[in-house]
Amino acid sequence: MNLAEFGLLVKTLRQSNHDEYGKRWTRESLSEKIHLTPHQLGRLERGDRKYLDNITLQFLAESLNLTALEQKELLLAAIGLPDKEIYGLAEREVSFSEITDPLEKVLMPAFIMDVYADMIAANSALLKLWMLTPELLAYAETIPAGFNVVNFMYSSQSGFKAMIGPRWREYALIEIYLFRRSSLRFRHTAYFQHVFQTLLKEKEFDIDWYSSHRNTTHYNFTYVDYSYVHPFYGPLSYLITETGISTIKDNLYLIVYNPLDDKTASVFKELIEPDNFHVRKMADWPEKIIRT
Amino acid sequence: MHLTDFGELVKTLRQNSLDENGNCLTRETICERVHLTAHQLGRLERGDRKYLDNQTLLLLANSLNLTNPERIEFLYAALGLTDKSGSDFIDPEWQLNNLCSALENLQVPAYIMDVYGDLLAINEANLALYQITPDMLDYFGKLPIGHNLMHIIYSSTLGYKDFLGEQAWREVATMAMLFFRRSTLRYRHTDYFSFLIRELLNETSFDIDWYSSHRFNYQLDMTYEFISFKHPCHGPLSYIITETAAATIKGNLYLMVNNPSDIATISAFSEMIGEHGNKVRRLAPWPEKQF
Repeated sequence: MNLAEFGLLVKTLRQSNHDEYGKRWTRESLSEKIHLTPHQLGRLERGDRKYLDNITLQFLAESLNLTALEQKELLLAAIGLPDKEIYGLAEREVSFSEITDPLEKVLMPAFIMDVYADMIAANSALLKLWMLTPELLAYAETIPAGFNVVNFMYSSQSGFKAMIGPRWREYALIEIYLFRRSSLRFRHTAYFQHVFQTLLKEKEFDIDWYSSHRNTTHYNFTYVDYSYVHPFYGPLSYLITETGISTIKDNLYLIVYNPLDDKTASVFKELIEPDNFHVRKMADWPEKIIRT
Repeated sequence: MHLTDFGELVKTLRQNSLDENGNCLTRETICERVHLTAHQLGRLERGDRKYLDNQTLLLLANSLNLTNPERIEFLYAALGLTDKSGSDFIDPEWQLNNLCSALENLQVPAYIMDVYGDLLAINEANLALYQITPDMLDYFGKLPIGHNLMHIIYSSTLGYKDFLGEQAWREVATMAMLFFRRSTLRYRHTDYFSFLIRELLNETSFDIDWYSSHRFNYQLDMTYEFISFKHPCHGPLSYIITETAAATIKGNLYLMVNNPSDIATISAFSEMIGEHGNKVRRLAPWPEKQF
């Protein structure tokens, strides 16, 4: 990320904060907190590196109401190096099949998502568990952010609320925290804005997104412990683990569901179906396409 | 990490890098590569932030022969970022306990490591997978180095190499080395790391691999690992190890889970859990390290 982009990111993050009257933060509101003048903050937001000393960065990270994991991402963005320099992968193109390779090998419900929480591929066990029929998937292809995990969670059409039942809201909120962390460095991109605007149309998403910014207790875990009664498979309990995969284009996450009791283990075994086990490609990656 | 710590880290990394002739990099060689005078590099190593511009950082990362994942850690360190940044992390011990209870309920072999590759906890199934007996655990517990994964992999006493077979062992060792280099990078200047590496270098073939991993530019940047070998009791097994990093104010914890890749391995894993459940054994001390 170059400095101009970093400035834009700071601006985006500033504007996503609201004061007690519900007004977006102005330069004045933020500049006070980080001990700059509004004019200096303006320069920082236009990519002037004079104001990017460690102290100011630390103030920035602490004032923007970020979670601990988001703060780390912000500081990484501040290094001001292009991703290919950070990851040192400039020489190596990674093919799609190389990326989905672990999915072919994990015999557990699993998927790979990108920094926008777009599911880019999933195995058949996961599709069955989430009750994603071919019709639903075909429909998802036609709508904005159709393969977005947060969208699945909040959408009134995906059937997730009914599937997870009473604890849905609790898990949805955790999903927001994961989404906040993975998307932090990309908040200023057109694609993020597109996903975000789509999500805001869902009834509870806006409430939870904003409340997660007011809340002072954050979910700083990278794993989630799920336990609910599935309409088809009965009581399930599993741990969702996340393995980060670095690529030349920002991070990907390999998400695997691991059973936490033998009942769930046997349900997952049923979902595998060795003869019909396959991986389905979903959202576009690495080029993101904005569908309206 | 404070700037003085970062300076010390640069110095440690410099002293442990080798040039193409196998000699330690001198200050002069590094200076040439990062376009600083010896005096300027000296100041950088004592924590002067004047020389920490992006260009220099990048040249440093390149000349120290870092692997890709190490570069990311190195740049993190350069930010003056502490593990404490973000004060809303909860009690690290609670976090470890929480991970341990997941370990106990998981229906597959799994273990938890810290940034030094020290095994903090392992479940029954994982002990069965690698046929590690309580006696062996006690034996390792009594050694100065304790339960360190690199030591267990390379130890000639345990004979992990014979157990896995040369080919699978080589893959495991390569991935473990890659993990170890990345996870320890920000801690290379600590007393505990220098103790650890001294102990490890005593193990035949660890030293060879450690040095050779610095000579070759690793193209591997994977964080998961596919393993397939013939288990003496359970026959051919194949699984993929995934790594979930949990951030704590005392550094990352890593939950390593073995996910079966074929039906036979699924059944083998459930056999390993057996009648007694998947009890968890706590091993190396954490967060305070002893040596």
